[in-house]
Amino acid sequence: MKKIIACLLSCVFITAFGCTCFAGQGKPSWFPEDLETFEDFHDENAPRIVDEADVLSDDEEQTLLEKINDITDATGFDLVIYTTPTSYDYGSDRALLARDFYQFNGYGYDEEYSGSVFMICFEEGNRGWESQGCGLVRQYFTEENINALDDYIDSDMRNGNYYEAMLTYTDKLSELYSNGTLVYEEDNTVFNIIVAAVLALIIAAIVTKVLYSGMKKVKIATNADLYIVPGSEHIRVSRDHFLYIHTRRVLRENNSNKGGSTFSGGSSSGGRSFSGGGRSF
Amino acid sequence: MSSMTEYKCPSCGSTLAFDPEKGKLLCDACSNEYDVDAIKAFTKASENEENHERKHFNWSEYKKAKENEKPLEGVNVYVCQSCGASIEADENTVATKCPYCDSNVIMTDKVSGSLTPNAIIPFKIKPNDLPQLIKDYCKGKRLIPKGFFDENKIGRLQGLYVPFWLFDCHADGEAAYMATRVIITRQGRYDCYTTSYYLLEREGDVMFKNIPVDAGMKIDNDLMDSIEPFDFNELEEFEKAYLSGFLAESFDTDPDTEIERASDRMKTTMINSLRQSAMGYNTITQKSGNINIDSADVKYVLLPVYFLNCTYNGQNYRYAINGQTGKIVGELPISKKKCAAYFGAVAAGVFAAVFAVLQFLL
Repeated sequence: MKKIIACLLSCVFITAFGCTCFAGQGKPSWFPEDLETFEDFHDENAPRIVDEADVLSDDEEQTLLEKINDITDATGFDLVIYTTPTSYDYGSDRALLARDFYQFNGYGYDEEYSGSVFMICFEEGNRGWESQGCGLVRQYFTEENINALDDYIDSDMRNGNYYEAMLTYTDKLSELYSNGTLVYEEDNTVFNIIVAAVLALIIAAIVTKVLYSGMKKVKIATNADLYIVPGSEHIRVSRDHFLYIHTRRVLRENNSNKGGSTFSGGSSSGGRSFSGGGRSF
Repeated sequence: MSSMTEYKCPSCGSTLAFDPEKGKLLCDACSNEYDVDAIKAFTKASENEENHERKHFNWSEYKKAKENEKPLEGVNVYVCQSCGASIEADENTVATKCPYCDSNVIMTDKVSGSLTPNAIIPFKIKPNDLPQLIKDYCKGKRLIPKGFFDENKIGRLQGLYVPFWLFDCHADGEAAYMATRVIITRQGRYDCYTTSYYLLEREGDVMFKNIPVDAGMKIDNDLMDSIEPFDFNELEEFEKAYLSGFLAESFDTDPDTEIERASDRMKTTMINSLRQSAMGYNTITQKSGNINIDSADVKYVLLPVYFLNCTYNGQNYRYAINGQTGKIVGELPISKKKCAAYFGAVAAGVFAAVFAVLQFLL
């Protein structure tokens, strides 16, 4: 009897351990069982902050939720923040994971399901974040704007300040919806005038110097190259002595930490069009 | 009185002038042309000259003769054989014109015996070609004041045979150079600059021929250096007839002194020649050098040069024109207004173009 109980307990442990080991595999619970019969829906009650990776405290979640509501009230666009410890069987295709999460959980208030999802994946070897926009939000999620958005949060994300990164994200997203862009052209007129003036003076001085030197053609001859008897040049001794060697090492600039955004436009598994991008960290 | 020669037309007796284009002596009065050799023989027969053995210039013999001679006075006096007028000329004048009858006269004593030049390059450029040559010279020289080279000034041209020393030398030398060779490789995150240092030793020698140095103290050295090169393949055996119609001067410098100028040029060429034999290095700098010059031979020649003097804004400008090749040298005056206008125009154009590119295209 004892042996049977021990055996059963072992099976339970093994199964639990196996489930834990293989927890990252397979589809997430919100993925439809039958994709072909899935119909889009709106779920106003779906949580707008899904912290499966448990990186946010309750207070932080509350603050973020208020920001999300402000954005939604101002624009009508939905916003959901999603953290996950695994990419399930999406592997490196974090963009698809984000899109499916948005669609299959019923996010988006209007007919076009306009809104965006900000997802952070903490799977070992596959850490990164994604911003994917759906419906009317797609026009705001251009490559330049996604790059600018990612630049703002890049430092906090790499330093593990995820809450701060999310706060910045929501602020910048609100700015993006207000201004239509996060990429602003700088007024370089004064700089351009200075550069043009300096170049103009340098080139004018060179041209005038060339014209001037053409007026002064008289000079003492310094060599007798023209008067060498052809074939008379003779090198008797030609010895090259090696003396010593000197090595200097210079560290190359490391650009590997400055990851550019991967911009992608595509569809979710349910066939809805998205636009966005993200980075690894 | 010193002796001199005039070449007379066998037909009408007028003085003859050497024409560079035809290479013959021309008579302006009767338009006859004569070969140089024919007139030489005619003149010799007419004057019943003694048949002197032709001698060429030899510096060593000249120096010996000079030690025994009475020093020449500053001015020599000649009698024009056309009009009988007295002509005063300084001790270096070889050929000139009679100021009274404009006859071409040659001071025979300055170009005979041990003073006979070894060779001469006759004038090839005609005086009539000079205005066009000067206009071509001014093309592209945008800062010349307007009217600087007008017709009046171009008329005042003097064709002069300038005395030169031609040096044939052998240069022998050695030099040492420090050289480096750099290889750049990547090792992980580092760029490695490996510099190898070498000492290069070179020895060699080279022959130089016909290095010209002007032998007249009154003539600017830089002007004569600048009208090089002459084509010494066209050197002719010296004949007094070539001087007719032009001015000429004899030497008044010492080749033992003037060889210094030739030596400096040869040393520069020798050092560069040794350096060029070192190849395959990223940097080469001279560490030491020693060049010896042996003077093998020196010749005394007359070379053709036109001189033009112009005055502008109270300043004198002198130009030399190579009488063989037509090369013109001289310092031109700069019009400050034109200089400022060109500077302003170029600056404005570049500014507009650069600003447009930066502001609207980038």
